[in-house]
Amino acid sequence: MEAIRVENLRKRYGKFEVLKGVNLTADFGKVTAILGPNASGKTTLIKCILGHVIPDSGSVYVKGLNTSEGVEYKRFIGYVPQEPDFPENLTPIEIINLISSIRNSKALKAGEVIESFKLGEFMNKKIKNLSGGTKQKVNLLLALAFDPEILILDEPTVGLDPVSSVKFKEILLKEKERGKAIVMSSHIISEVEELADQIIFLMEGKVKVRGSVEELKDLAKESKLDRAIVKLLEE
Amino acid sequence: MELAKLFLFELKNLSRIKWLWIYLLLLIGSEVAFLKLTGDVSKVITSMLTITLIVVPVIASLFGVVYYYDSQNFVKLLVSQPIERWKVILGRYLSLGVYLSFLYFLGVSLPLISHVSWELLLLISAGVFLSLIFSSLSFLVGVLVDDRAKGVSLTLILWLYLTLLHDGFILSVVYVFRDYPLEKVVLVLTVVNPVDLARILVVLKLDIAALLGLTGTVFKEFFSSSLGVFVSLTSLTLWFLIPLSLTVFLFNKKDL
Repeated sequence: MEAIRVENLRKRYGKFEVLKGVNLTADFGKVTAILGPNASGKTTLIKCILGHVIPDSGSVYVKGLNTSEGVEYKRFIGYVPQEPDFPENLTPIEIINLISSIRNSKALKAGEVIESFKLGEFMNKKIKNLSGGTKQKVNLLLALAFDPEILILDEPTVGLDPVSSVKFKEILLKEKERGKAIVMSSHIISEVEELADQIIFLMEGKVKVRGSVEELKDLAKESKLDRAIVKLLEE
Repeated sequence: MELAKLFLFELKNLSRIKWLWIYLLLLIGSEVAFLKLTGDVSKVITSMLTITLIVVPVIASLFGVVYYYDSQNFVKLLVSQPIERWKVILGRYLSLGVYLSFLYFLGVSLPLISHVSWELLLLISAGVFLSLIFSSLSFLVGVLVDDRAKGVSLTLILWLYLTLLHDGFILSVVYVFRDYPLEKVVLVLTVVNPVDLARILVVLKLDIAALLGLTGTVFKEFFSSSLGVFVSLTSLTLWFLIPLSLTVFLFNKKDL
């Protein structure tokens, strides 16, 4: 079942057309990885889905809701931005409470995630006293705590220590098994290979390559994903 | 409802910023010092007016624009939640404007708590209006200019112009066109500057012509009655409502 459908999405910043008619779908129960070199349009694509950027034309549907027609669709999404950034004088628990009141929903999974990332002792400390890695864990906590049906992750493991990174990947796989749709962008190919069911490779604002990890490897006749992608792009 | 929640959340955040406590202490300290030195409430209000016209705009402008830029990533996180954009920006603006106004109110009213007068209330009104106006201008600059350095510079230029250079401009106009009747022109030039309006609002009641300056004198000639106060208050209200409306309108369409 489709969680996200993007139809002919176009976005231009001045003279530079960042997205040139992107079409894609992301399904429930699958991890979709969006890859691409710098300035390929992957951040803009994610921003369009989240409503940060208003597309020039085209449509984005989240669980069948057109994202240009309201904000209710955001209730289904948990978002992990690349750079964790919270008001420095507040505590993680206060931020969770704010998001909880905005979503009008209890952070049912917060306890489980706090336990997984050993965040308990930091929940009442001010953000300015937390390390970069701990802030990133708070970031992940905010995305997972409300048990959203769709997770959108922008470089989610940047700044995480190896143990937390592994734990996070385990959580993601568990969420996938529970039927969640996960859309992620990452530069870490090994991570993508480990997690992704579908890869969408953007280049110059267009979907250049699309398929599962195995399909892409077979297509390029390469055993490693990074080499396969490079080969496919050169063709 | 979400607007109120966000407002209270931001208020809590602002209340923990120590730099703003220093602002409060500066206001209280200045007023206590003036009171000790002169012992005359009218002179204290006159001195505080000078501080209000310079310090309040610069604090509201600079703190406002830095606050806007510093929280851009957090704003993106908020916009990712099921809340309309206008509520996000309005909630943030209201908390900043109300908090700065509250600090000004405390700073100016506490030392003179036993000397409440019409003049003091007008001084507080002027400070509150300037807090709201320069906060809204700083948010407007933030929404219009993506580059932080340019945004902060533009805010400083705006403050410098409205606080210092605008009166020089009016003076130049009067000097160059001194052979023509300029009352209405000066009146219009005054209304386009919230700092002049705030000054007039207080000075008209203090009856100290020496401090009026050229723009204030003309204003007094036209509006020596309560009509003057009404026009000042209306203009000051528009001065924060218009930038705020523009900010909300532009933020709704802005790519974050």
